[in-house]
Amino acid sequence: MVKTDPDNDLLPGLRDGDEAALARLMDRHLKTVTAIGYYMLGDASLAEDVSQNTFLKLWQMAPEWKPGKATLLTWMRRVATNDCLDRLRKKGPIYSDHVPDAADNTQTALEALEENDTVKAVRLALASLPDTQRAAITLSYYQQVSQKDGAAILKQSVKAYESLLSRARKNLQTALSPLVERETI
Amino acid sequence: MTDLNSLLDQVKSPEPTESLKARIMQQAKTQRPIATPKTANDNHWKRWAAFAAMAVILGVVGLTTLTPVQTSEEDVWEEAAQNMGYEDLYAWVEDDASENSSVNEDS
Repeated sequence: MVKTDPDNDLLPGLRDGDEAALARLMDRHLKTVTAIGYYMLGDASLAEDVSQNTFLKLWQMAPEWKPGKATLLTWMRRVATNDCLDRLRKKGPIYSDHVPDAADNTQTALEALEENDTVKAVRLALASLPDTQRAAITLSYYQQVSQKDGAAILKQSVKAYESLLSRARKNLQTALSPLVERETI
Repeated sequence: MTDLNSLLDQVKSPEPTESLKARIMQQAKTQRPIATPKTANDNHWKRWAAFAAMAVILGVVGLTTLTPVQTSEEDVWEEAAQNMGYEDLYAWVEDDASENSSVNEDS
């Protein structure tokens, strides 16, 4: 069965080197692709580098793109994830201490402090995961990718991917158990 | 697991900076799409490459094993004489014959 790519309308433009098509593709997916880098590497600046590499790679490959295979977004997710895994293999997890400003300005200073502590704890828990487990959480939880697509992106069987995801969640639960307990009380 | 999900939800990826899109567009101008023979999302050529490699290997093996060994009539007779124990006689006749032929050529 041929998978319909929601970005098929941009393919002719991308093949022809139409920069407007690339701009439209970025309007649709720049945030999604950058988020992969952010959750995997924990650094907004590096995440943007990953995103830039991914879009430029697609831009160069576009003339040879064959419709009916992986969708453009799935392919970009794979490229971005592999880029992150390569960087992690070379350098290790990077997670910086900087916590992005919260969007809601109505919270009190104490709430903000507590929230920042929680965010830091979650970011540290994510950073402590093995790379492929963090990739599975990034794809399945933060990107809402199906298990089949997630397994394909990480080049694993669906069963192996499910096991990876299950271990990732268990490790996170363990790492964050004090917070979970405090919230339950 | 709801608690874990609510904790994970607290980590939000920041919006990409305004300059990122412009940066990519700028780079894209210098890296125009290039035509290459392979398809970016198609790995089927690898399967055909494997078939082609197998065909080449089989071809080479076939050529080396099936090519007939070139043997002259003289070699066949010499081998037969050796098998029957007349190799000295065969050598004497052959030497004599070659001497005669060289004499004929000289005259």
